[in-house]
Amino acid sequence: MAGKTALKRTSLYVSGSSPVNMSQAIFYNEDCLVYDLEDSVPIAEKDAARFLVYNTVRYHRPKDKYVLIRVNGIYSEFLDDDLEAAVRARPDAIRIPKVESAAEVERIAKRITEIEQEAGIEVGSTKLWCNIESYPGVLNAEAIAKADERVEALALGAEDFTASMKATRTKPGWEIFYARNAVLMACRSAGVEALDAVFSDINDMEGLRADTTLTKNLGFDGKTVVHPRQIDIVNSYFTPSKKEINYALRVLAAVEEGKKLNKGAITLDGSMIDKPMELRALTTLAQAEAAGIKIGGAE
Amino acid sequence: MEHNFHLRDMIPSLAQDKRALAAFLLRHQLRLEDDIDYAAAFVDDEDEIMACGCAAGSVLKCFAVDERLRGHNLLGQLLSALMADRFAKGRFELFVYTKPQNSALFINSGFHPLLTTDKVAMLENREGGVARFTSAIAAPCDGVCGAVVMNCNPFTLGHRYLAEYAAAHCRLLYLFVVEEDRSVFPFADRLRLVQEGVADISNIRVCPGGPYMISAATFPTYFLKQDDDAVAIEAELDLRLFGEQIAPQLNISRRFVGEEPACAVTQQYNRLMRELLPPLGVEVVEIPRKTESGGTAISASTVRRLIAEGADQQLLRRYLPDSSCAYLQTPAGRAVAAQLRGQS
Amino acid sequence: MQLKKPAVVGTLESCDVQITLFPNPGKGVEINLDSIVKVMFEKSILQTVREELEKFQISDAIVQINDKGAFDWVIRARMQAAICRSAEVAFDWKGVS
Repeated sequence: MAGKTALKRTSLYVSGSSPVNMSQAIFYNEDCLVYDLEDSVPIAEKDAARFLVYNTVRYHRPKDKYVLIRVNGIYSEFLDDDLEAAVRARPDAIRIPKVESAAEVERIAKRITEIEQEAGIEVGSTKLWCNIESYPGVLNAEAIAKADERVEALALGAEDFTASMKATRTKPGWEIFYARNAVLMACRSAGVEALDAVFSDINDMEGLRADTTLTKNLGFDGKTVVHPRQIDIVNSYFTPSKKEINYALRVLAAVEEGKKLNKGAITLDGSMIDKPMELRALTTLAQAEAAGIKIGGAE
Repeated sequence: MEHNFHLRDMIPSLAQDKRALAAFLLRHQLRLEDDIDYAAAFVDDEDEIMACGCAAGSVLKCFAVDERLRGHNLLGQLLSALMADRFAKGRFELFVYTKPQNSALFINSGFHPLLTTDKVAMLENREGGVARFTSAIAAPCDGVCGAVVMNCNPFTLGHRYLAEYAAAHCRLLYLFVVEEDRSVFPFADRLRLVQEGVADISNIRVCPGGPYMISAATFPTYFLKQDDDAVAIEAELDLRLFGEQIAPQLNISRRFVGEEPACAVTQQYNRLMRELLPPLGVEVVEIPRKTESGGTAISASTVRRLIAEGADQQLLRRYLPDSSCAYLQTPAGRAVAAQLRGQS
Repeated sequence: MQLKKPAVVGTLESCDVQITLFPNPGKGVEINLDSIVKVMFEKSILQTVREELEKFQISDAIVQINDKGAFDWVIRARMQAAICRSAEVAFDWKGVS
């Protein structure tokens, strides 16, 4: 099972009603695979999708991927059964659509605890990702991120958010600029991961690059993708350059050195190294490792 | 560009969806039939149709797939969607009518060929439907078994005369009432009126026609060419299905039919019956039509016209048995009469 | 468990299987298999189908299978959904570990 430190550069949704898409999805390079019970599944097929996702995740989950199940909406008639099946399938996390308040997270977390106890699953092992896809969600993002220990990430959903704002979704994305930052700040404040919204034109690769540049520069840890062909491009933006890796290695070496010498203030190239710098260096190396880059060792 | 498409419901009652379906089918030399009650289509990001399939009652029809997307098994997925919809609506026996050269596509998707003529292939979703149908109605008979197929819209003295004559000329008579709900008189009522109308004749077995007595009302013609003779094609399918599959399983060796003085379509059907059934071992007996006391030939269409014109009970009694007359006085019968009057 | 009405689950998409169940009161289990991989996998598909019927204690059913190369767990999932639909029961997830 992928650990908590696993990378979350790309999340790919796959419909819980399509066995062919489900079996293909494991061969792409996405870090996180989200089996969907919600939007991609017609109402009349909710029962069948639940069985399909349960059987797949429980008995044939992809190795080396972070596995999630997106359940139906908090106020939908399907949520109870979705949670029963999803928790028992033992994914890394459950992704909840359209979270708008901390109380909603608390309620779901409580339910998950009960199911874990009933099914003999380690309590707390099922993490939560909260989709923030409306203005109340953005306004309450910090409380949502801190609502429960299980919360591991917030993911911005731009299409529904813009609809709730009466805004128009555009490629440059100024209409979601504030929301992106608000979600990011909430995540940083709570110490959870921040995942950016999708870029939905699957034929516009230049647009995807521009959008992902922004995603990366704003500080997100990853991005949801709408199509497999977007995966490698998005991943590449979260793959550090040789220069970044070398710098990260030097930062960590300096920290190590400073600890050994019991120095209060550690400096590198004349500047002080603080905790966030150290954290960023660790992330850089984890990303490099995930991208298959060998770090350190003999030349 | 990648072909990005997804499946969506088409709403036949919504003008824009109906227009889009009709235009797409037309590009494939097919027609949208107006009795569609469910449709599904693969559409691209611009909401342009790339493939479609439709359903009307137990018939799946009006299929087309854009040439560029052949080989993606879109037909299979459309069929899955249509079947899921039909099952959800309580229809479990489904039929496809298509060009004979296309029947392999449907066989590949789990349909079973029932009968193929030069012009049409009929397939069903569940193998062995005819056997299930006949075994449910078969009765022991140690003599000649006969059959008559009637729509009975509504049951008239003409039908009664035909049934009486036929019953007298065989040991057991299967009286099939065509099962479709396109007639003004609902099927359940038509069936009951026939049962009541022949209750005194002990060797008649009144049976629902099931899905294997093809009715012109439900026979799809979307795949036929303009100059194809839809009536002849439908009649051949219906008669061969009867002669080759139903009659042997019920030991039927005689089929009775009323002579048709007026309607050209029925005349053509009767002519094809005389041509096709005897080689299959079913003798055809055509019986002159009964006339009412005033000398007019009795037919259900005449009765419907009289009701539409507001004819009184006394006049109708010359055409209808007591049971049918009584029915017209019930709320259901009055509703039908009102509907007929509204149509005229 | 008794099947109450016909039910269909799954699609004719590749890697999927369309399963249609019909009640067959008092007449045992009848399985009709149509598969693009029938030659190689007929035995294992039939076994999977029988196992799922047994799990739900279904002794009478007509099972029509149109397989487009589905994996074992997909067949199981489709069977489970079809059985619940046909028997008109809500699946009890609490019984699952």
